[in-house]
Amino acid sequence: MVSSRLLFDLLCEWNRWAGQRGKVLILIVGFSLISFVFAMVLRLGDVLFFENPDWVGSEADFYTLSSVYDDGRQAGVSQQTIASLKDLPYVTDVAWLRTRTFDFRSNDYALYQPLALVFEPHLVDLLQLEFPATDKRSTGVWLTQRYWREAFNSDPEVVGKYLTHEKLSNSVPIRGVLPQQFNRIGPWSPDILLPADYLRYVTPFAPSSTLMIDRFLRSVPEYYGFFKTRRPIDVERLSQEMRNNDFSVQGMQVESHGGELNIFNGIMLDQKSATMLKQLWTFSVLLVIALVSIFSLNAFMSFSNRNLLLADEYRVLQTIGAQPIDLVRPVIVASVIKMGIIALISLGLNVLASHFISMNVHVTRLDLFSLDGKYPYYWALSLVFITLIYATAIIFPLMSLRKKTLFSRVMGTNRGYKQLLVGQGSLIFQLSIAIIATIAAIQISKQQLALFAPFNFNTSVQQVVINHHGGRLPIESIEDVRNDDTNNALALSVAPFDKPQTLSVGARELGFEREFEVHYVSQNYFNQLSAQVSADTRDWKSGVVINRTAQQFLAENRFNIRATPLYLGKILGSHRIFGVVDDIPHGGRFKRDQPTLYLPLSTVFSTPQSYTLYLDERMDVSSSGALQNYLDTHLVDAQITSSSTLKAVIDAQEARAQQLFYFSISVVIITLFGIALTLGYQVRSRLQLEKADYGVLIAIGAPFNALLIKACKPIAMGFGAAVIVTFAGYMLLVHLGYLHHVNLASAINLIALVLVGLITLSAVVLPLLKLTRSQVIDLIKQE
Amino acid sequence: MAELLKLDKVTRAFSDGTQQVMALSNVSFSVSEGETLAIVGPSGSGKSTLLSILGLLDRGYKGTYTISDTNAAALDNQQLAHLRNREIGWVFQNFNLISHLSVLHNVVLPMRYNREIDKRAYHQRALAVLDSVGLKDKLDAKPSQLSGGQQQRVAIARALANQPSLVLADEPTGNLDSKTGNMISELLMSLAQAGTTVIIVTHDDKVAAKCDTQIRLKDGTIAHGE
Repeated sequence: MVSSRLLFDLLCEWNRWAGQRGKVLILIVGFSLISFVFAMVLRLGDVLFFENPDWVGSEADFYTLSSVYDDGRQAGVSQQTIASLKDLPYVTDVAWLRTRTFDFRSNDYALYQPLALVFEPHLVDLLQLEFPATDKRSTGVWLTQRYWREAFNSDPEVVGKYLTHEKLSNSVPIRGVLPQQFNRIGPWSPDILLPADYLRYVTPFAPSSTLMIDRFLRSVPEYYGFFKTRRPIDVERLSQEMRNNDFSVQGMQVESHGGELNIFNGIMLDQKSATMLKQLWTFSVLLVIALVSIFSLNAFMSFSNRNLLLADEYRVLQTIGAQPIDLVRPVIVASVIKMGIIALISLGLNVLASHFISMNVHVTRLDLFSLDGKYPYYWALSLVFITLIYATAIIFPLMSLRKKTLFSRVMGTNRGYKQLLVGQGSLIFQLSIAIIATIAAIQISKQQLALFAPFNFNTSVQQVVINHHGGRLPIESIEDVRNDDTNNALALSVAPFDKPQTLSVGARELGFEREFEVHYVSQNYFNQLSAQVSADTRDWKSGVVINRTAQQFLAENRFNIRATPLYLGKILGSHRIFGVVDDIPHGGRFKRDQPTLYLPLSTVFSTPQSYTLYLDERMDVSSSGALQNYLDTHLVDAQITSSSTLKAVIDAQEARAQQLFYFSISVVIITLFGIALTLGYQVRSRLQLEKADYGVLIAIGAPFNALLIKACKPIAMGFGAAVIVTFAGYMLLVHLGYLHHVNLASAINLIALVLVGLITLSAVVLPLLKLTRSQVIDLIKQE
Repeated sequence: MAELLKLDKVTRAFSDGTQQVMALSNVSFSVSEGETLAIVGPSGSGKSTLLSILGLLDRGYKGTYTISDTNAAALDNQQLAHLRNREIGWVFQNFNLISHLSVLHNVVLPMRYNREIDKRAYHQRALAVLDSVGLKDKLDAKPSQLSGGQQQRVAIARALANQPSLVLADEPTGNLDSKTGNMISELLMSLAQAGTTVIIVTHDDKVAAKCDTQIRLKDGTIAHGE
């Protein structure tokens, strides 16, 4: 016999949840998910809105001055522009940094053009950077830990050794190895950190031309400025004011890169990643709201139903002398154990998610969810949050028990009006989520089907990426370089096949705005890929080729593609549409329907850092004399960095997309399964409460249909309300501009409704069938 | 014999929002230790209301109720629960056993709320009371596996677990056949011989006749006392 009070409490709780233990498990998993996602929301929110990057030591509020392209990429501004900040009375401190490759050499190690983060020495004080040997910050070089490991084989004697540079008369001492957080700064993985003075030696001017060097360094738009102010400022307003100023340097004409000056709150070097993180954060917030709503309502309903079923037991216990604490204690003991399990699962989810994120998503902060960072505080906070929700779900139904009289011969209980209302609300909410999850599942499955679609272009074409250190390929002569065996011409693009630039096309006044992928390609690109274009690209010198998806998108937005030129922003200007090409799945067949633009290479504004060649699979790049000659003639130090067929490139993309697909489909299936189970339990406990009514109906000869109608009535009403709520939500999202266009009567929506309807119906029919198989006398008998 | 409980002009009224219903009116009587008392009367006469006051489940009455020299009205909820646990044992018409617990655990239940009993004594004491009701061989059975008579005997065993001075039985034979009912009433009478006061609410004249005293309630007042 169990004598221990604790064990007896647990035994009672275990028995009291008989028939509902699956639901308890779902609640535990659900609350674990809430805890995990909520902790993630808090941590991400901290990083996005309050915290400086981990390589910055100061916790002060900073602003970043840089420029930004139409597609959200950031670029630098001139020193002159940054220096102008010092004239503003409320700006207290300014410093800058920039990146540049420096051709440092070493006698002991093979170094290849290390990427340097060049900093103004004052930056160390301003941002309180954790620098070794900070007293000598104006000379020398600091190695990042990654570069020290990779290029210097983690040599412990590296400090004090010297690097040389052809333009420097003196060697440069290595001052130290930087802490790990300098391995990643904004979008860069710098190899070394270098004081600003060294920039003077790598300008196009002779060292004696001091004035020209100063002017050049002041005018090149490569610097990112950081500043502090006495009081918070309106960044939009200051950005606008600065855009109206002329920051050109007298006597120095420097090509602009076309970005627009912009001031950001905080230290911002990678706005694109920050935007992605913000989207992830917003999605997580919505997920938390949905999960909290579903599981807190479910928990409330579970405890409410349980207390109704246990009301008689509690009454008996009180009659024989149980104090209120004797009734509450078992619930508390069991809840503490459940909380422990929830904490462990949420921690496990964190480990899994960190692993998944580090494998699949590029994030600037790999320590984001690290257990030795700030995450544990937020995790603990999320557990407190969960405990509060759970405690509320337990306490309110328990309080209603206090109103019951202790002595009554009438056993059995009925639900109150409020409980029915909460139950129905919970049902509507869960069914709405089930409908949305099913629509998502079908859409994802439809995408999966795309993997079986045949390619509409030649995937055996070889892609070769060429990096260089100067020069520019003459586009017009690329077609003269022919495959030795096949005599086929080569095609060329600026970015690799699967790494397009993006551009926001459209404007508010046009009534549409959407991100398009952009590829700068040579005239024979489509020919080389055997892709079908509506016009003869042999005459393609100007204008833009769009893909079918882009054509469809523009047509849907009543854009006349024959008559109206397409405006592609300030830098690219307007372009007439030259032709339409079949959709080429650059990002894999999952992302086939991505609106894409192809522009002739002649429209590339700045000198490309790399080129991508497209040639016949059989052609051996390394042995092609004509190609090598062509590259060596026009590029400095041209190097083939990667070579693979387009099939291999797409396979890699699809493998990644497939992982995401399996992840999303698992989430959807778990959600649906969870909702189906909780619905089943909800109906079961409802039937349990009303079993005497059903017993009477069966006893007086009611057919199964009558019982089914009685059981289905509240569920059917809930289902109808859920359909209305879901589609009203869709319409609202369309109205607010978050969704483009929704066809409510689409096949996917209808299939989803039928599926959820069937799941709901089976959640009613199965327990009802079980109930009708019971002895009528057992149903009517009060326990 | 010493007096165990005494009611003095106890009145209990209920309101349904529009009018007041007088369930008990100026009820006074006393019961001695080891006495058996039957409360009889038609439905709606106030038997259950009286029983709930005697069992310390209802505090909304007027008048004085003294049990073991303690004025019940002066006790708070915690003290009432304490007194119920130590001094009163309940036997219900529907048995009211905890369905998910075994016979042994059901009987031990009141002991668990009695901090004066050592945990190690639970098993021994439960065995003793179950032996006294003839169910020593059903320790691990669940209530649903027992007959009505056996369930009522378990309920009596549970009522006796803390050796109370008062056992209150609400229609203890109402759900049983006459043979089993007779056995249960004999069992209850035997408790009085051991010094326990037994108050039975019953419709069964045969059960009432076995008691030392009878109180007949009619419209909330004592109509006839013997």
